[in-house]
Amino acid sequence: MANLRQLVQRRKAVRNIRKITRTMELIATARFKKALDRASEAEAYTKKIAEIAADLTSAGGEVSHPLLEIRPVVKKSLILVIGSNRGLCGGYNGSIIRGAQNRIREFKAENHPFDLEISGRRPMAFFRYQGFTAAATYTQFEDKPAFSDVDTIAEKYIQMYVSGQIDRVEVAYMKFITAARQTPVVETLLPLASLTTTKKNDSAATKPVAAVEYEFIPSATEILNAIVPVAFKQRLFKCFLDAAVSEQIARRVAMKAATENAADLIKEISQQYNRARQAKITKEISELIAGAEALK
Amino acid sequence: MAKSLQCVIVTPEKAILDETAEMIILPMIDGELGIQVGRSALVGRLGKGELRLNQNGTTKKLIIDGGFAQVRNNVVTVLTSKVLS
Repeated sequence: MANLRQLVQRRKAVRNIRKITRTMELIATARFKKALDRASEAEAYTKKIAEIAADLTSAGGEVSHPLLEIRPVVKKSLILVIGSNRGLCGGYNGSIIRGAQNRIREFKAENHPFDLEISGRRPMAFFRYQGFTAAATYTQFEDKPAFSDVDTIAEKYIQMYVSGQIDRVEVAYMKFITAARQTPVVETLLPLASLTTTKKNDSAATKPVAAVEYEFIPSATEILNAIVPVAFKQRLFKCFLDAAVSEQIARRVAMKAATENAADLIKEISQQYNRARQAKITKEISELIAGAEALK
Repeated sequence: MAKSLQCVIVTPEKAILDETAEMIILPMIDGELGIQVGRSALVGRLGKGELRLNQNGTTKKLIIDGGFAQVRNNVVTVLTSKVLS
């Protein structure tokens, strides 16, 4: 009897959990679509910047911006880890942290000083547990990172980089490749490898249209120098956007798995319950018959 | 068909505007610049200020916070970090 009630209660609990995970899955799906839209809208800006930069360099503009200089000796690095504020998203934070930690181990092995900056409560908790002190932490980035927030961080990095406090900026985050594929990466953002934020073949694709003779106000060189920090900010912003999209995907996948698992569990418990019920009925009948037999 | 000028404004977050206009006045780094149909190709740096779109006798005003502008084939692309309308 007790066993039967227990089974019913467990089944009820699992059903409730399934409802919750199913809802979370749907929410993550909706958020993922929104985040993806934002990321693709931002893509237009990135492309244009790359195009203008390509046009300018083909027009003979000279760039000599401190952000582009590769320093021979890297005295201090800064590593920014972008994770999520909330859990229940499968291996999302775990894989980012693993990537970041490998890098940190390399730094430690080389006795290389570094600053750690963390975005998201999950990686914050992890690194606090590991005994690292973060130079700065950010929790304001949810599924809709705002450019103005990223702008202030980028501005700070530029200022730190130019003044020589740091010689390299690296970002550990989940790179969004396709809806079915994201990989944790550690990317070097500063010094900027190239102005064109997109891949080499992409910038080559924009070249043929760039045959137009432009008039430059004030001059190609000056515009190029102004475009460098903008390109860096956009790169950093893209990291945050990618991270937001990847987080939602990871959460959706995790919640889908949880929902499916709950369904399996319900089936199993139902089977157990029916078996127990049947056994109970059989037992009762046999007791009844035995009792009637005894009365004869 | 009278050609008109297309104006596209994009920020890092999203495309703000995609409209046609007769004349676009851009706040360049060193003063305002009016652009009409048939303007030769141009790349310029924008300063902080007011961007005006003249459309059928009405004027649309937007405040932009620096950035870059590109003019090509009667398409004006404005890249800016922030737009206030």
